[in-house]
Amino acid sequence: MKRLAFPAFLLAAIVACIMFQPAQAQAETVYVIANINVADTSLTQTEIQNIYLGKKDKWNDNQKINFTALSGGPCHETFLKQHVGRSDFQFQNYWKKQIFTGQGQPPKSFASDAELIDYVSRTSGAIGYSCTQPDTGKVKTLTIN
Amino acid sequence: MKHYATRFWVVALVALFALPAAAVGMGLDDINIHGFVSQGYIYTTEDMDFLVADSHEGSFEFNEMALNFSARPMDDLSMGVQLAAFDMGNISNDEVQVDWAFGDYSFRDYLGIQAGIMKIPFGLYNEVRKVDMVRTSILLPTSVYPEWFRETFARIKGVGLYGTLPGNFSYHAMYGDVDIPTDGGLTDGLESLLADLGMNTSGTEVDYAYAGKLQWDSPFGLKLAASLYTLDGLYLDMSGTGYLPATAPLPVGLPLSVNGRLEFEPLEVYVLSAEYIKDRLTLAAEYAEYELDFSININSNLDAATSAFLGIPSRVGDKTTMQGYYGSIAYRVLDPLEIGAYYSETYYDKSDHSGDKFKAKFGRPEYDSWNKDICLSARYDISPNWCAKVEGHLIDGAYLAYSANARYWEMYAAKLTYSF
Repeated sequence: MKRLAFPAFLLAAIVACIMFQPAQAQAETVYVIANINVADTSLTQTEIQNIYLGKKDKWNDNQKINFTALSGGPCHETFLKQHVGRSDFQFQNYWKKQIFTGQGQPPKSFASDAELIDYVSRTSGAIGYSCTQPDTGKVKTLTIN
Repeated sequence: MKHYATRFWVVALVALFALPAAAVGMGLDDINIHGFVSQGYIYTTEDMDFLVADSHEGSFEFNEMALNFSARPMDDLSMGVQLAAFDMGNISNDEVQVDWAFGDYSFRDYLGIQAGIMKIPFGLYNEVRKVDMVRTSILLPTSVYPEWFRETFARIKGVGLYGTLPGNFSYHAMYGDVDIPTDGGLTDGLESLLADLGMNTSGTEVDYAYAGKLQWDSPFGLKLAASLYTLDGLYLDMSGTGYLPATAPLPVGLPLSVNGRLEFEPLEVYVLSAEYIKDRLTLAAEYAEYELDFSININSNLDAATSAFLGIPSRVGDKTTMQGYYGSIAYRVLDPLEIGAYYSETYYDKSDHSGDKFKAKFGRPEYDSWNKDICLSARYDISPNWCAKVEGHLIDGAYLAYSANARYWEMYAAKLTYSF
């Protein structure tokens, strides 16, 4: 009886994999935005990934980067997939690792584009993203190379 | 372990009162507080015991918890402390320890400095051994992360440097001292090796320790890393008392007292790691070698001739290269559901995969020298704060198990975690 337990466990896992298919995130245009006083006008793909993984915390003029994120939704998932190379779950997992090893704190998160844009416009060195075209009078849009 | 308990109260007070006070102009809102509690259950078949002394009967002595406080008083300066406890059978018994407590000053992206008690960067997962909810499996592969060494590999008290270099190479290096608990996994394991002499550990000492990790992150989800960790001058003071049984030619039992200083010269480990993340898929593989060279000169209350006659050795030890490797896969089937599997092999001696030399040296079965583990795990995220896991292991070999009376056995585990 005991010898059957592991094969039964394996079978249950395979059945679960076959039965359930993951939903695909819809593609959207994501604008990477920054506070108007940030001197940089563009970032490489690696730089933006490193910012959101906490490995780059300074702009080129050594100003502190304040990074922000949406708390969830299609725009957040698209940004993570395109620019961080992770799913939302993997992103959260990564930051839990950082939190519980003392290596950093996750981005400040906002429930809506409007709240995030407002924070970025008011905060020196802030960076974020939005799927609605940002008001260039309030924030600057960064080019991703 | 009393010093850890004392530190708990000191550091708790610092965390609650001194941190905000030191951070001029900061309020409580500027202090980040996070924590988790994990409660597990472990069961092993065939009367085998693994990790927990009575795991064959099923055991709840399998839990972890932590609470941390951190703040950033200046743009380039951060500081924090984490208090943690775990229970794994006879090991630790939920005693609260300072898991990490350090200050971090970042000069540039390519150079930061840390000072205090820091988690050791080793392999992909050493720093987060206690943090169950950041991985798919409950138990990390024994081949690279043997629980025997859990506390020995946990933290360094000293200084560290870190940064990200051009080409997206990041490094983390540290140097300092390591506290080895007298009732931890390493001492427990060595005492079980010397069980015939009834040895207990009364003190530990480390001259110095250093660790380094170099990692390359590709833009397409591949991560490659190499890690090294060395404990130099690791000593364990051991002693034991008892009675020799009354057997011919001795008409009465003799009182026996033995003691000695077990010495590692040194304990050295390296790991090569690879991880690939793509959408919902995570693949990982690691290879580790543990250089172990330990010996103990045994002194007893009996004279040399009597000791020799009774078969009490004057010196016990061994020199070996323990070898381990594994490959793992995890796939997020649904947003809340992830399935994972790994295959792991561990050998006491990398030049003795058959166990023949081991059998000749220690008089124990060949299969006591290896552990080959097929693991299948399922993880369900009930909410962003709650996570439940179950897993099964199909194991060949009894290396690092408490009782070696079966070659093929199974292990099942379940864990529920709350984090915030």
